[in-house]
Amino acid sequence: MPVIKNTLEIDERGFIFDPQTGSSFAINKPALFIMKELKAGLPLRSLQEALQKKYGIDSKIAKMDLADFVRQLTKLELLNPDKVSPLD
Amino acid sequence: MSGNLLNLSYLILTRYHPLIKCNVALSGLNATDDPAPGIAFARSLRESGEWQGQIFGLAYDATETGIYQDAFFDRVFMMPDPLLPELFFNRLQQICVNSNIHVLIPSLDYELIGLSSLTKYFKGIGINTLIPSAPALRNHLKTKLPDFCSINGFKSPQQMSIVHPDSIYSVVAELGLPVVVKGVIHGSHIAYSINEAIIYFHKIRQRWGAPVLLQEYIPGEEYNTDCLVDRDRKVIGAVQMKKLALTDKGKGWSGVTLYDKSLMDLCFAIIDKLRWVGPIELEFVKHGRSGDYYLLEINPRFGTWIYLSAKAGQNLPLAAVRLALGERLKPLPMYQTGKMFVRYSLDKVCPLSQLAEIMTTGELDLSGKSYKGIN
Repeated sequence: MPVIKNTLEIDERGFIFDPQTGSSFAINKPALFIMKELKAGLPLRSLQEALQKKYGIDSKIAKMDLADFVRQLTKLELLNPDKVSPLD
Repeated sequence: MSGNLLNLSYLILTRYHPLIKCNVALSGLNATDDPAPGIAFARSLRESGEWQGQIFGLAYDATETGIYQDAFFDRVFMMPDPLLPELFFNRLQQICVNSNIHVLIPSLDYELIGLSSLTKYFKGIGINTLIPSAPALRNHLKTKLPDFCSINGFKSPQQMSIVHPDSIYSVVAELGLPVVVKGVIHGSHIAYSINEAIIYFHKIRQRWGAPVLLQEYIPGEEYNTDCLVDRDRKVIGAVQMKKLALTDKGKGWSGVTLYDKSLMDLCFAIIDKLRWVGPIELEFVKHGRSGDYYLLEINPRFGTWIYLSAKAGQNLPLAAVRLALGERLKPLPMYQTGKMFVRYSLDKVCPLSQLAEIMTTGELDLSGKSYKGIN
């Protein structure tokens, strides 16, 4: 399960600051929703279902978008490197 | 025992800092697009609430923009070339006749080399300093950086010194393009072609003299750490900053505080090897692919963004004044990450008579009232 770096500061307006690298990012509302749920420890499968329900999308799109987003998080080093495992 | 005695929740623990009273003389008053740290230092002191006294600006040119900043300086004095230590010392003695200087903080790279030999004489006329030893200062020099890093196992870009522009061709063949063209004391430009490197070579040689340094360009983001080291070579405070915006001269125009333990450990190791005392700034680039920190430069003073350290919770300028006065300090508490600075330009309007005064008399009284120093 991907685990967000616990030092990340997530602003409710869709702004992320990594105090370890000094990098900051602007994210949209669905991304903010995912970040908050990941930080709360929600498993990917449950998060996918929550996305489907919240945004009224089918499971295939939810799964694809979620996987793509987690890939971006990995690339930007916003996940805890010790706790990342392949999706599913 | 009563219940009240066991209930300690009402206690508020605070650090007690007694007010210090002293007059501080500072250099580095220029605040253009290639600023010096003098104004940031003065501002940190003024806003600390733990310091009282006068701030004297020491200037080398009447066009230094900080000269006219009455919000920060009480008096400004023109100084002779610091590379002529005897003249510099004589001028300080002359200033001290009417204006007691208790602490001298040199804030320009080229000053330190000349002034390090004068510390015992400063003490003799009641001026306290916090200046590194001459051997430590020699190690910080840009020409020595690759050797210092190589001997001590720190990563730094490859670098070569040249005295003639013809050498640029062979150096670029080895280091590749872009290449960073640097002065031995100050000045740095990124050249994307040989022609550009030649132009920068001449520009830098004219301003800062030969040799000129050509440094390998490391792609990545820039990180600075400003530290303060006491006389026992213990780090009292250190603040990390990532540059968010750069000017065309590569100067940070915006930045944010962060904390990366691996970078902090690296800074402490470098300071230990340098056997440093006083303010210091370590400039790094984090390699875009490997994530390794490369030491780009060592500055023997605080950076121009040092006011950010004070606002983030470590007032390093104030602590430097305390150390210079001989106080022993405990390491400062952790600073706040995510504090951002954004620099901006502002026009200062002042009477031409101020320019006339500094140019003709060599000093300018900005206090607007009769001088009241701390004696």
